[in-house]
Amino acid sequence: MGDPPVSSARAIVRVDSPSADIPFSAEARIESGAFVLAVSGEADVASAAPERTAPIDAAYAASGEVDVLIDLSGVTFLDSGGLSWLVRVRSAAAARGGSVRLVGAPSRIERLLRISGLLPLFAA
Amino acid sequence: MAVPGPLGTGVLPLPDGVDLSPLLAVLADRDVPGPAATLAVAALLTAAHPCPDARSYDVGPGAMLDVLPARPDVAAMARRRVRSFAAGGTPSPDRQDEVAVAVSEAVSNAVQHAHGGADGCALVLLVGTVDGALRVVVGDDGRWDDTPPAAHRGRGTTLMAALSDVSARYSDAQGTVVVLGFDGVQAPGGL
Repeated sequence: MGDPPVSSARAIVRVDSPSADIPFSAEARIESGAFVLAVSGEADVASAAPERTAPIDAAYAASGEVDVLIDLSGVTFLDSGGLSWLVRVRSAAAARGGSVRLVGAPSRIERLLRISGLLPLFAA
Repeated sequence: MAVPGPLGTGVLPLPDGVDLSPLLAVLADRDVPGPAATLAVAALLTAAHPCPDARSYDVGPGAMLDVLPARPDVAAMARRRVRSFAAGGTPSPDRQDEVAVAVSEAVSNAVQHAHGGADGCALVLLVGTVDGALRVVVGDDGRWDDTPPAAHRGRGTTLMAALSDVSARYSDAQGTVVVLGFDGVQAPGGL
């Protein structure tokens, strides 16, 4: 999996954790013609719930960009709640004819994607 | 080694009259009575100490017992607790993460279909070591097939099965019990 890009772009939206027990943030920016989403911390059913990630969805819809790059290098934990979020992002991009590329995922996160059969959904 | 990181207001003594042996039997797989055992224990615990806050109970060294409200953020509490409980005996960070993901799946699923009753504490989490393997029991009062959506639920089941050495689910009209086992992962003490 590729290395994450170094960014100088300004964040257009940021979502933080719903709870003090869950370190989490997701920040979106536009860079090099893609909607770049940088995720940090623990993406689970609480932090990555649809109602929590809605501002990201809205920013993508408003952005006019088609392709998405998700930087997972800061992710310390991911379960099916986080996986479902990645699938939702992918569905939104696919509806526009765009692709979603994952970069920087720790190997154990990539393994979860493989076990779940989701790896083929994402661009190499 | 002491059981670390109690939830809520600290470690509570087990109330009088709470018999953990059916729950411990589920943990050890000597007998699988179904959700009734875990629900009976949960009901007795919450009658003595009403929710909605998470609680940890003193069950001696080598095991941990928590009662949790049906809120999505309790998955993080549960995996943090189990991580520290198993940390001394877990061979690698990747294995620790497998345990954390499987426990998070089991608790998240329980949260999504548990009903919570009058006091809102519907989940029982029991962890111990049996024959050199970490065993985790998550019990709740909901039905597995109440949980939408199907794709998400399927992913959780797939991950639990792939990351654990034993995974089983028993669901009836009273509730659901999930049992997970992780070979070669030991916690302090043991049952």
